[in-house]
Amino acid sequence: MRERALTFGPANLVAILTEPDPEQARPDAPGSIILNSGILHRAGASRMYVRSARALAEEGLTTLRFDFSGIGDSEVRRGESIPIEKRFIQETREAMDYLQTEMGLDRFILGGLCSGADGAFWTGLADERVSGIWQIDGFSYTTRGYWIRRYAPKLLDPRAWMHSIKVRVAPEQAGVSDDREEVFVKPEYRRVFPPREEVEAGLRALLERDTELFFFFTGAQEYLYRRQHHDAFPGLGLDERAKVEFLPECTHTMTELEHQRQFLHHLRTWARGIVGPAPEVAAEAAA
Amino acid sequence: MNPFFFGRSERPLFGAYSPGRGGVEPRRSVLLCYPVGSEYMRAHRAFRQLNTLLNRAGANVLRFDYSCTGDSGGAGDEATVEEWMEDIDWAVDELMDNALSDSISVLGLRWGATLAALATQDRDEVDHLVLWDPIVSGEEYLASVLDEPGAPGLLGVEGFPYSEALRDGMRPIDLRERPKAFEGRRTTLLVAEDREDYREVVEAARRHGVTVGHQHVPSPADWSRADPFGDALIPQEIIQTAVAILQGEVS
Repeated sequence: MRERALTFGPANLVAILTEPDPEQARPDAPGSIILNSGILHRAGASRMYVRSARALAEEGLTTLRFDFSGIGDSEVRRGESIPIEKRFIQETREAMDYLQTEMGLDRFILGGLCSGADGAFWTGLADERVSGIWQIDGFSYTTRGYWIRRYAPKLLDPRAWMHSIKVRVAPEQAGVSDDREEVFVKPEYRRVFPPREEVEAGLRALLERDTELFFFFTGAQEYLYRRQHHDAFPGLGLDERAKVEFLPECTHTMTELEHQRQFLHHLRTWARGIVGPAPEVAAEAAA
Repeated sequence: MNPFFFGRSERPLFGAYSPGRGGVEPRRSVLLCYPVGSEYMRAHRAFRQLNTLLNRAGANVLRFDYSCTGDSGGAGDEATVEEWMEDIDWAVDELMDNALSDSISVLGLRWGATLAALATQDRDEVDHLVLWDPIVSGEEYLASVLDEPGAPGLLGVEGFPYSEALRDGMRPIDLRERPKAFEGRRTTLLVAEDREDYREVVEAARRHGVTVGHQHVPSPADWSRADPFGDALIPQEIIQTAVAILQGEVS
């Protein structure tokens, strides 16, 4: 595994490229790109983007971690007024263009946490070079099974009636924003989940293109059981066509070392399913 | 800004160098030393903004990630205090090479301040040291972030691994017992809270015959607070004071 620092595109976005060692390289593997989560720079929450990039490189995927304009070490993009969601897409496409021109890669796996997961989804819909998407705490929706799990125990517990029910509003957090120049302005991004039908249509389009999908949910969202994502989109057959994992004890920023280990295991397993086992593993299996 | 790797080939260090702007001469050159663990993530944006303000004031700036942290080589559970101090030594050389400078200032935050003071105590080229909310006592720090600081094995602090070797390196460090680290250069404690242990560092230096400045700028300082969404802390007043100190406008 080798790493180098670079800048790319018209906005000189700052990135780290992680390449497999020659013996791990897979000429047929897609490229891989990891997208910022909120205002966290490209190292990622709990340094998980660094570890994810290295894990993917060990599976043979050349991986780029970069900072959107105005985030981390990338400068604010001046003279252009582009809505946040469109900028996610534009700059991720610039990253793909860079890897295509410099490395000859023409298919890509996109991934990220939270707003990075959102960016992967939107870019995947906009660009057919995207052949795989992994998301940590991507868009999720409540289901009948969710409500039963949430309130059934309380219905049977008289103490629960003594308490008012907290209603959770749409999650919001700091994220990517507009082109303000003030040094101390902290970008803001209000994360609002789109209507379920919009996400369902998007997932259907991705599946029709045979896009590989991996959804990892922590206990930070309105998500209570592993099959909830399948149940939220019953017509898509996610059971068969996507990898879905749920770790209820895990925090949004993966602050437990054991949860980090489990996530990386799932990510590697999913990536291996796409590119096949590493050459030395395949050779051992053949022997 | 120029992002690059430098230092040892087996465990390269990520650096971001940016030259000063404008016609200010002679230019100061400033090395910025991050805090560690989750505090590094929480401080990254504040450091970038400090970097921008220093560049605008004409100073050349190098920020870098210690080995096993951020973008630098190495796994988190391999980190040691000894190697982090060597990293600072590498970074001092790297900044002087990039800036063509014979002397530099170093500003560190939390562990970055403490390690910078100790790592550069024999480097005559470092003529100015700014210690922003330094960790005064390694033992007290570990007690504040770990439920059982004496427990064996690998422990996690807000998602970052703290190995036994790392904790063993942190534990004996106490700035009150290391006044020699402040000899021969201008040193300022830049602190957000008026605390007894900070005053004890200044007093220990005074007894040793060294003057250490003490700037108290009331501002947010909850660097180790765990934010569920990884939010940043950007204390404007203290950042602006840091720039003024490094420009020689405030002692």
